[in-house]
Amino acid sequence: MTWQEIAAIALLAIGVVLELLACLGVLVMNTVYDRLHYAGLASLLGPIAIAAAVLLVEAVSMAGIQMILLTATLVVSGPIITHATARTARVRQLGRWEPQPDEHIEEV
Amino acid sequence: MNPWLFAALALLPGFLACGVVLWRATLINTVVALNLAGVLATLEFALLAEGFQNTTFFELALVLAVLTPAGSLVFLRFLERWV
Repeated sequence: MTWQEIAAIALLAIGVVLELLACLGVLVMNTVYDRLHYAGLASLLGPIAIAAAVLLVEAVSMAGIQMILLTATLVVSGPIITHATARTARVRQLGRWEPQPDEHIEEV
Repeated sequence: MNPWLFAALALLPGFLACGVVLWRATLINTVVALNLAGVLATLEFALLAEGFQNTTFFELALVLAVLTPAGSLVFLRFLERWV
């Protein structure tokens, strides 16, 4: 077994564990805002680890390029979906997403 | 059974967690679970493609990776207007 295969298996294990932790977090948390943290983890770190495992074995082949494209799509779309979901949750909760007059949100 | 197929098998309980949230949680929470299930399905196809050495599954995964967020955005837009 070469060092690439050993590293690929380690990265694969990390990716799967991260995905399962994200699923557990989504299952256990109570509010949508808490759940979004774990859903964000699932679309960012897990796919990167699994893509790195595939690239270690496949290098730059058709499968490797497709895995890069797939991971890039997940990494870009993940934060967009997270933001859109949080915005929709807030609109459904308060009627609009802008800060309310009685909310004391400090500007950074 | 190679490590890729074993990893694909290990990811399957994640769908169960998404299913429980879809079954029990409120509407906006189900969108989070739906999107997570889409990410899991994308990774499942990628792992199966590598495990079976069949690049066709990579194309399925790529299509799913593009269409799942698009579908979620449409669904969220609908939910935002349906207050």
